[in-house]
Amino acid sequence: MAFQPLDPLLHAELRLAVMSLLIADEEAEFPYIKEQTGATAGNLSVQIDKLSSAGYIKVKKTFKGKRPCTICRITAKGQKAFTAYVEALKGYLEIKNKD
Amino acid sequence: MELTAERSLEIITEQIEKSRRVVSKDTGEWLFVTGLIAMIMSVIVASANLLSWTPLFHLLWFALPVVIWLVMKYVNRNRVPVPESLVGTLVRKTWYTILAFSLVYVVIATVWNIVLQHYESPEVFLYAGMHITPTILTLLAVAVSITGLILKKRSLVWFGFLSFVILKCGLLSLLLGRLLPPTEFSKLSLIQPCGFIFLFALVGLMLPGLMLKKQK
Repeated sequence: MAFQPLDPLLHAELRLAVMSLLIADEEAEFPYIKEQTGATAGNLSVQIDKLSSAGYIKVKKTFKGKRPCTICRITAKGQKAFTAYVEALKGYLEIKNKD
Repeated sequence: MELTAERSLEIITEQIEKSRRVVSKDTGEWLFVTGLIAMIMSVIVASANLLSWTPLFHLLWFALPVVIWLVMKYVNRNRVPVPESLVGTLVRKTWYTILAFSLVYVVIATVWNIVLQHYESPEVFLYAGMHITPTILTLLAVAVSITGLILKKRSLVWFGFLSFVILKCGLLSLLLGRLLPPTEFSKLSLIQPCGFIFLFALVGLMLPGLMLKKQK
């Protein structure tokens, strides 16, 4: 059986963690994602930009009172890519288990 | 470090579990604060009713949601807000439904009981009156158990069930009845609902809330 290729954009620890978090939560603020993933603000910003450029997540910059607030939300394209990634993972794990 | 299929799966599971835990802790905070305030309020209402010998201070219960909302706003003032999630939405909608049922029931039952007391004899009121506190607390006990099922916290399901059993077994009425002299049985309504609410708030709200709050 041929391996299905894993989406390189999702096959990175932090980006995968962000996507998993956004799959569970409908939308999340930047500080919440930072807290849950344990990433640094700089690194997280870079990875969120990559996911956003690919159209996997939508980033909305707004204000909460006087403070700036960044809200991330997974898109339909992101959900589809995540599902495909999990399906591909299943393939790898099934083959490994057979061995 | 190379990301293996197992590690990928681990990350996904971990994050989804973390999200559920955040909702659990947030729910725990709500249950704990609600339970604590309801317990304090039941002591205040019972004391005020006993001192004044009127059931007038039961009206204070209408202030309970406002007090809870204000305290929660204060407690959460510096916290990162919990995002919307399927689990969180399910828990919230369960409570909204139960609270809507409770509110409608309270209004209908209050009007019905006032009319009944005005036009009928006390004997008729005894069997035709609507019992507000036990019904509301039963609904809330069901909400606690459903929340436990959604959050996959079996102990919460049992706390809901236990509070329901404690409410229904009649032990509290028996104890309160023994405390009052037989000539004062008519005054039981001054403190009985407060006793029920206190007990429910402790077993059904505060203890499970504390347990959820303290989880790792």
